[in-house]
Amino acid sequence: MIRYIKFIFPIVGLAFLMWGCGLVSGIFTVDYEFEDDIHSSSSQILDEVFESVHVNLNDNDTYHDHKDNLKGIESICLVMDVENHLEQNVSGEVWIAYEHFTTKQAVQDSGGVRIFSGIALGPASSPTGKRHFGCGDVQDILENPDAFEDAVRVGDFWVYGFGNEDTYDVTFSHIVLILNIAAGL
Amino acid sequence: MRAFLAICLSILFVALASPLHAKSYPLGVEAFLGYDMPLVQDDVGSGIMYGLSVRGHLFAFLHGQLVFRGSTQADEDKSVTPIGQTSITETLEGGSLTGFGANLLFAGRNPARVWPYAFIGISTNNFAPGKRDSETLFGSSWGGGLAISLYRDLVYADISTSLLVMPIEDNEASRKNWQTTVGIMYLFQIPMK
Repeated sequence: MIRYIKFIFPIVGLAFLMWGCGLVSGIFTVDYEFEDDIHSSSSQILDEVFESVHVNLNDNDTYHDHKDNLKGIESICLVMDVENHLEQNVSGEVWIAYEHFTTKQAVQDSGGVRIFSGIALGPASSPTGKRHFGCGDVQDILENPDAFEDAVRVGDFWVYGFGNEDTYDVTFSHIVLILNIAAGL
Repeated sequence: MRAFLAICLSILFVALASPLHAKSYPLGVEAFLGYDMPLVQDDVGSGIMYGLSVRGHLFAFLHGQLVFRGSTQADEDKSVTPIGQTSITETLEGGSLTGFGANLLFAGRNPARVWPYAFIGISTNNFAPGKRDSETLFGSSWGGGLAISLYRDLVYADISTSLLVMPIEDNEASRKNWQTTVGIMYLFQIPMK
């Protein structure tokens, strides 16, 4: 029996070495509710508006608890209701940036990154004029996940929403960011 | 992948070549069902697992085992409350986890009525969570089990439990799954002379 144990201990030790430092870790869900809606309209619309939301993930307890041991982002999802206020089709987009901008052009030209596009909405009076997007819907239209992941690591960024067309008037509301992060315990 | 297959084939070769002195070589073929429980993974749920394995004696108290297993991973429902709204439930799609591995078993040399064992192993795994991109993950596992003879030390009920660890994020984190299976193993007596 003793000779068996002589073999077993080194092998079990080797197994622990194979696992590396990642053994004491987990995948944690962070859900961050946006405090405001994002209403945005083009200059052709009377009373042009351009809203954005400041995201500080440090306000979230789960993120705050694991930020120092953050190893990676396993999945990203944005849950939201999107409404078209015009009687023409619109394709919504969501962008992020580390700075606060006050125009669509500034977001697109000065370091903003598009993370969702192709958020298709029908005319305001049609059934598809207002749509709910869940995790299953946005997974297919996520763009630039690496840039989004970088922003999540920083934990402090701005989110913008607008239409892809020259003329648009859309509102992104009830927005919740759901992340699954890999982090040390 | 090639290196992994080479290891597996080497184990099989050693298993079949080493006991040349014996008249027959007992090769255990097992089908199993079980339960796969992700540990500290908020994004996937527990599920049913299934698989096949082949095990044979190597030398002394060491046995080799090749395993193919698959498991379903259940959806995870998350309740979130947008500002100014009532709570809504979002479903994070589960998926599947399949793997092919080689284990080194520590057990008594000869089949017995009650045949306990411990093991360590390596595997290559495909983690496919819902609509997200699937990943190929290296895995290491350790655990133990108990094989109980049901008929003439040829047919065994095998109960096994193990921890599968799959490093992610450049080995800085890992997915861990606790897997428990119950199977039926038949020892084929392969003539050696």
